[in-house]
Amino acid sequence: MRSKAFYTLLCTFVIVFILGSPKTLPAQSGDRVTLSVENAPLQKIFSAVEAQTFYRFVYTNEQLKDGKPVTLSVVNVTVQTLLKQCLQDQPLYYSTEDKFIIIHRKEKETKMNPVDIMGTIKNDKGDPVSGASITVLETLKTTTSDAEGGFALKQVPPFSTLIFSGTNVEGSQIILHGQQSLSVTLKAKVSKLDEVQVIAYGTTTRRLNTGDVSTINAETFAEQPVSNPLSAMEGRAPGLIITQNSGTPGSGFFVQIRGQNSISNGNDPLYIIDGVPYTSTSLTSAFSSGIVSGGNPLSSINPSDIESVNILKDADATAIYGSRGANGVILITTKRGKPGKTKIDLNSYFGVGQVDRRLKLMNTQQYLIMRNEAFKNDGTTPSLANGDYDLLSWDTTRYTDWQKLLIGNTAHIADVQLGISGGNENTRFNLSGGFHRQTNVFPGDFADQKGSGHFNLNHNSQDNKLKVDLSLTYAVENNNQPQTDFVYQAMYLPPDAPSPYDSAGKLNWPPGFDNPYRYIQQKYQAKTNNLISHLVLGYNIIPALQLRIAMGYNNIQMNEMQNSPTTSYNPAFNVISGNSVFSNSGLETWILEPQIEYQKKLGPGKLDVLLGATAEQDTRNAVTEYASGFSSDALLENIGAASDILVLASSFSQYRYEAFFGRLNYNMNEKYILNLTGRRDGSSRFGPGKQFANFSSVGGAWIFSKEKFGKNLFPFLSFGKLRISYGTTGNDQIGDYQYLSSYSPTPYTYQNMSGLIPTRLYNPDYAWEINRKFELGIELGLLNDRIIFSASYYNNHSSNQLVGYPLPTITGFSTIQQNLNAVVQNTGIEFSLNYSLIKSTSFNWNLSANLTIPNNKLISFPNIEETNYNNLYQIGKPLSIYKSFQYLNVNPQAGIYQFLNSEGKATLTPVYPDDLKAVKNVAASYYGGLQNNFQYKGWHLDIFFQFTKQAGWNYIKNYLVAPGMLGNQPAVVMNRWMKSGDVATFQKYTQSFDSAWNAYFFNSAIFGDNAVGDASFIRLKNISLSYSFPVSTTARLKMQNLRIYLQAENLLTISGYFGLDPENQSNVLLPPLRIITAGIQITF
Amino acid sequence: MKRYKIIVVLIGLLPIALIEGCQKFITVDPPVTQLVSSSVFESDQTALSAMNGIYGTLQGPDGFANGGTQSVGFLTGLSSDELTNYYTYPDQIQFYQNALNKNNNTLYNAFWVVPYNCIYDANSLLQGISGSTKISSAVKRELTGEAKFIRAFCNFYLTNLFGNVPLITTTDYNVNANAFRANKDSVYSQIIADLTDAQSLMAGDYSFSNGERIRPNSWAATAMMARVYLYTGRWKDAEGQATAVINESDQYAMVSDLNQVYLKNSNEAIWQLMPNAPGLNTNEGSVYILTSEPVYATLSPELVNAFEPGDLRLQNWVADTIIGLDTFYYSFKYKVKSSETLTEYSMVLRLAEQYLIRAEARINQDNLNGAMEDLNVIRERAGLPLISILDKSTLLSDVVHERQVELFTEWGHRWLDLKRTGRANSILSIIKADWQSTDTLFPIPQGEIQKDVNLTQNPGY
Repeated sequence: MRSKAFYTLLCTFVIVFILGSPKTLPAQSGDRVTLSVENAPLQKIFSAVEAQTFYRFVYTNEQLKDGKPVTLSVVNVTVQTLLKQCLQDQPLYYSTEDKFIIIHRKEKETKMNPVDIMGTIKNDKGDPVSGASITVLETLKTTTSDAEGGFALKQVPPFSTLIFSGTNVEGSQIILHGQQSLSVTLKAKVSKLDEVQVIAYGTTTRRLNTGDVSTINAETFAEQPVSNPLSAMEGRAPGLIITQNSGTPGSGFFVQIRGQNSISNGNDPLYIIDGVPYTSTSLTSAFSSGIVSGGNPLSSINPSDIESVNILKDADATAIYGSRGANGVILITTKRGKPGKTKIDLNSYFGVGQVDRRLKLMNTQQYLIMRNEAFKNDGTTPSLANGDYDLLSWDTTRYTDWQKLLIGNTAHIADVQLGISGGNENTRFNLSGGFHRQTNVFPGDFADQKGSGHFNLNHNSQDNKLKVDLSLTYAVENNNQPQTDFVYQAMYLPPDAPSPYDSAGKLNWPPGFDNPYRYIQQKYQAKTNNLISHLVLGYNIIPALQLRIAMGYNNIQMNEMQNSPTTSYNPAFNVISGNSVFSNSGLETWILEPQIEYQKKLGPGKLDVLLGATAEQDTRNAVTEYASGFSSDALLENIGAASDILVLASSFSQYRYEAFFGRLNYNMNEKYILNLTGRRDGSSRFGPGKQFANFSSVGGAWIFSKEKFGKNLFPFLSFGKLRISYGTTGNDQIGDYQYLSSYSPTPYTYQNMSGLIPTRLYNPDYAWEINRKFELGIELGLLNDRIIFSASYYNNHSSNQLVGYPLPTITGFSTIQQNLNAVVQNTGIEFSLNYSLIKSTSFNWNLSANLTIPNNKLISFPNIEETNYNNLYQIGKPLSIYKSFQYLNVNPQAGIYQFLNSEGKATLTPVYPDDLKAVKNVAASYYGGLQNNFQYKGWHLDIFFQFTKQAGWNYIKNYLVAPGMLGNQPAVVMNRWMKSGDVATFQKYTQSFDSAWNAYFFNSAIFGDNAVGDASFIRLKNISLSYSFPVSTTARLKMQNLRIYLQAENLLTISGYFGLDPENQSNVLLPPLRIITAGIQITF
Repeated sequence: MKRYKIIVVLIGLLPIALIEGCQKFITVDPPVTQLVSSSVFESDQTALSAMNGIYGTLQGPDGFANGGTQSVGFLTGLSSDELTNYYTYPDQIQFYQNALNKNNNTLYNAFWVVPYNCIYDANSLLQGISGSTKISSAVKRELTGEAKFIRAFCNFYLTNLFGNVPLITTTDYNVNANAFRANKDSVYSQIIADLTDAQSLMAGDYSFSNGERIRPNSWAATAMMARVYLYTGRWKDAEGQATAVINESDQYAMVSDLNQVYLKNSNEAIWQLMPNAPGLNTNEGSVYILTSEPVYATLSPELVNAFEPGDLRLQNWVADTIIGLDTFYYSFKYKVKSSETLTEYSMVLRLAEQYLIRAEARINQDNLNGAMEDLNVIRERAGLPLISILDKSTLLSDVVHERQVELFTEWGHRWLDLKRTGRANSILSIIKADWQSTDTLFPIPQGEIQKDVNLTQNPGY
């Protein structure tokens, strides 16, 4: 049925396309004019040009006094061509400044005495512009326009340049030619509603969009000193959850748009950078990526190159991406050049980073009390055979704050960006390069260094028929880190552990001490080379019909190396040769997307039809080798020097994808907008017969504020829109070749010959996961769009769940892929608000906020009782639940944790799975961000708070060892049970694997609901304070702009979380760092 | 302008034409780094590689057969009275304290995942070669035999460590995922059936491993069969199988120098595993030999004190290192801690065990003289006085003692002997503080019970 609907849609497109052949030229907008006049005064021609193009003329009637009337007839020529014809016999010439065409007289411009000038400023709607500043470049005299837009300047040299700037208009410059009165038109800054939003295969504005798109623009990235763009996006867009796994540069992120759709497959959004799909999964090898917790491929994207990030959420916005749009789409657009004077921009900052939160751990005295009490409780004594070196062999009077030593150092950050951009109306370019270096807070010398170059070129042919858009980005990252995150050692090492160095300055190896400083020598290095290129060629066969071909190529190569020299091992282990792991992986993507777009006025509205096709191929390969038998530690980086090489993993995969897509958009009087999209997809990830599927959506918008009744009923509304959309998307994030059964080479050879082992069960029957999305939204502008508010409700159903169905190991495998008839629902409400609270000449206060209240629910799961999922999920509850034993208290007699059993009675020995009666939802119940921007003259202050209300895994879940065993504990664990009758927060100490240990490890950490705690937080995520020097200063320095700034990231976190950091909720990974930087930006 | 137009139109049409071949475009070739299962069994070479994969898994770093700290020899050495623990890793301490948790990951990986993976791989190989027409009949026979032998070998350890265990004989996950625990008798029946087939299918020499004793042959199957009959109390059969091996004197003989027993391809070896860890010889040598303070374990005082005075095995197979005032004893059967040149292989089956099996089988059939002859073969090599007329029960405990000092730190013999002779409780409750009688069986890994609802837990866990 669905495919029938698709073909009907296709036919409609074709018919519309044929019937709609154009007879007349549509109104031009841009830089071309069509004109036919006879004996017309120049003023008339200028007005005609202003009507047809975006150019504005600056002249005085005085200047045109001697001008001759003109007769000419031109069709679709550039303004330049036209003016050349008009002015060739006139005593006049012109110059352009940005969008202004300034008319000059050809008279001899001799030096004259200064004159007094008067003028008025209007915006392009004809309203007077008050509060704009006018500076005379030559004398640096400055004045401000009054309420009527009038201004006066005395003693101005007759040929000086006037610089205009204002908060609500775009800046401009005018060169005087002796005139004493001026009438200046400045372009009004566009309403937020009219800012460009990038959508799939095109652009629109927030005003006219039928889909749900959140935009994060370049300013947001500019004010945050972060190395991964994802980090700057945290809390900025409703519906988007981003969590940083670790504070180590280059490490992994968790990214999710509108909740978990898939029970066990990828929930990553689709990333598209300048039209090329970009991988969401890192290339890091499983054998060498511990320190960066999997890494993130966006790490090698320079945030400074980003013009905007658009987050596509509903069916209307995402269905055109078909099988890949189920989890939302993140479109990243890089910076383009703008016409005008060539600009050179230099921006650099330096700063420091530190761990924001530390956990208060036991000191030596508390630790020894704990350990000795544990032995007393167990009725035994310490012994070396039991590994109790901390009590028997180490100096128990020592105290070391391991957190301070191992994660308490200061990271240094340096960032330099240089860009050149400019061009004219036909050709624009942007060329930039950046360098970023960030060290880590661990002991030792570790740094992540990134360099990137970005080039963008746009060209329109003279007749405006051919369009070329090329963007190239090349980034190199060299990340040097230790193999092991020091957080584990910082948390675990007993406070009386020996000094890392002996008196001779060498690594100290007393018995039982795993010297953490050995990890300084165990290095991890990841080098990434990343090329992203995209070329769009467009040709207007007729003005209404554009043929486009988009070509993209992305190549990421990553080389990882991990070296463990002999000196990094305890000499007692007698390691005679160091070892290294080498991993080389690559991902090559090409994409080809031919498109036809037809835009025409049809009836009372505008029709926009897009037809296209996609062919894409991804090729991945990876080899990981373990090398040992090096004759010297100095040769560890040379695989050729190893006598034994073991291939740990070798993989190759190819993914091919093709699709036909179409979109029909009809915009009636900017009042009613209808948007239909469809896509037929084929993917190589599925077995024969299951490769193709159809996806489609329908979206509509009604701008009711345009209706008469709307204006009458809601006079306070400057804008009001209702949106609705419904459609289907799919999810194919299941890995390649999953339908084939296969044998793969094993790293473990036998008899010096390679072996093959079965690696997958045969299973051809699975197909796409299908996501049906419904959305209802309202967008309002109040007080002349000073308040822009939007609210949306979404309801997404994800069915045909592809589940890696867990198998018991006795089957030889741990999972098999199956399509289960289970349905997951994600609903939610999202709000965003932008309020320009104060808008005046010198002071502006802008507030923006967003809030998301998500809700996830497992709607159905046939026969869940008979499956292994019964202990994980419950119908009617979120997928993020944790079925657990309900914690009661510490049993006052036994001194260990007790729980409620299924009959509601206290028990010391809850039974799995019968007593799993507590259901905790370990997820955010709401989250969002709040931003305040203040601007006073040249000062800008931006303060951004991120907040999340959530339950999360606390220290007990992430515990390293049970209290009482060898290993440090948080100081609060001192509040423990000691003797019969005690009411305590923590159970008694134990150092053996007895019932107390079982209660801690099994009943609590693995299955107890006391391992879940409040992990809500409010984080002062970003503060940015900057000062832009006034024109008077910059002009003297021959600069366009000079700005100095201070920026801070993660400055403050308010949270009652029991553990290190409520965001990454880990005891073994570095929390996100607090970073403070100072910088300067100079534009020439 | 015309030119642009043509070029753009052409480029635009190209991929459309390309996409016209829809189905073709998105049908990708199988990955070059993997083989589709069916193609594995289309040549002798790839089928042999699949068998190599099983040996690789068997002694991989997680496996019970690798001789290292994850091996059945080491871990059950901790659980019994052979080793004293010095390692702080909780999983290992649990073995030492007989306080195994059902979530113990080492237990799960070493004793459950690896044997069941090998069983699946063997089943897959059996299925693959039985349906193949392209594999030569000699390779077919040999590989069928080897796969059945490995399946029997893994099942032997599974049932002896866990008691009743799921018996997996197919590759069909729908069947296997819901398997019940089969009782010990039916597991043993399967083991005996597999070994019987293996005996008849495999070669009697080592031609399939270039003359090296690193793949099991039909004698390995016979030796294993002798052990299985001993464990199941089929004394006559045990004697018969052991005799067959002992009589194969062309290939197997006792090595008189105790320091040369574990050399590669020693005459005493019936089956050895060739180490595959780079830079090491055997894991046994690497783990047991001490050059400084103990890191993992030492030999327990109970074991060291068990040797009779003058036992050459105490001199040659037990060594010590003195640090400060402490003397640490360690197993010195394997002489090389680490070396690039392989001189020793990990011994799995050796002739001495066959003499001990036959001795025990003969005692139980009241052939005391025959038993003494066998015991004296072992004692003679150990430089101990030969034993003469003794009563049956003394002989029976002598044989257990002889096994203790002959087979220590090898393949869990001590732990299994204590269990099957009913001595575990009486001996271990004295030296292990928290000993409980249910500790003789290890817990079924909890995760497996979650995934296969038909599995049950052993008592005491």
